[in-house]
Amino acid sequence: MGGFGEILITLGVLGLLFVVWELWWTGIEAESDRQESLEEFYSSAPELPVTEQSTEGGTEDGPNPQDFEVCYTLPDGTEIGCAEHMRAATGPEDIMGITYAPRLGESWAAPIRHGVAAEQIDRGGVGHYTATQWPDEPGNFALAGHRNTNASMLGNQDALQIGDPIYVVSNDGMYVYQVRERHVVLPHQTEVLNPVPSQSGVEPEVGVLTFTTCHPMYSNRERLIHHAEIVDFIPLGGEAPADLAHHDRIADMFWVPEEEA
Amino acid sequence: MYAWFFNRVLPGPLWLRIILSLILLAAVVYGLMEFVFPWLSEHSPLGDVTIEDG
Repeated sequence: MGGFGEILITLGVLGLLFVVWELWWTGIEAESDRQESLEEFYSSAPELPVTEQSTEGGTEDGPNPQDFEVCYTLPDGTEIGCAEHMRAATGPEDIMGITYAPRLGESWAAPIRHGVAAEQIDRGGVGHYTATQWPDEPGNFALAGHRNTNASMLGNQDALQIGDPIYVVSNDGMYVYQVRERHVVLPHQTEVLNPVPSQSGVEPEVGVLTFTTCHPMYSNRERLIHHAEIVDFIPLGGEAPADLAHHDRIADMFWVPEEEA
Repeated sequence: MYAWFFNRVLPGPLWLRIILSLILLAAVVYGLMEFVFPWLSEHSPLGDVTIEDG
């Protein structure tokens, strides 16, 4: 076999190795990063008086919602708490919060970092588009995640159905969203990040959470977008939604009924 | 090229040359995975999942 053939074979093997790296190796690193981030976030979570009481007394009497500062009110009167801690967690190593989407898997939990560059989203979580709004104000809280590489946080995003809950937990409390809309756009269609998605010059009245990822699978041609609308805010110590009760650390920050804890 | 490397460059008996080539191969793959591919992907648009102008 000639040297030329060997070079061609070598190039082919290199190409295959690159695919292996992209689809598999990046996932291993990002997944361990994700686990560390979750641990780090919860170990710095505020201690609740309710937790202390219940350890001493040995019983859990019920939810003990902490007082919170109201940042705005939904049209139906629901008060949305301020995200003071989240807004302060914008450093390169900071975790703003964790987002949960039960539809994407029982253990699905994505740490949120501030920014959508590789330093943020290649680490096994999702990134916050820094130009978009925050969960404690009307407008768009937009997050980006990988579809196929780096632990594929949003690999399964298309499984989300209209009406599914998405939760954002921070040291300020829990923001509860419901999926309202799914669509596919081109990468330059920044209007999906507008305060009122796909409309310009309109003053937002409610909070929206947007997930963006690659579309279709294994391609970079389009973007898959899901918009969810805020429906509730649960202060620290309040009752956790039943579909989050099995996550160990949720019980540290919220009240979880005994049998589900 | 590889035959020449295996027969002429690597020292020692056959078993040593096999072990040496496996170690070299592992080192090359590790170097690619840890350093070359991450650098390469920074300069390629494949990992881009975001919405942006341009």
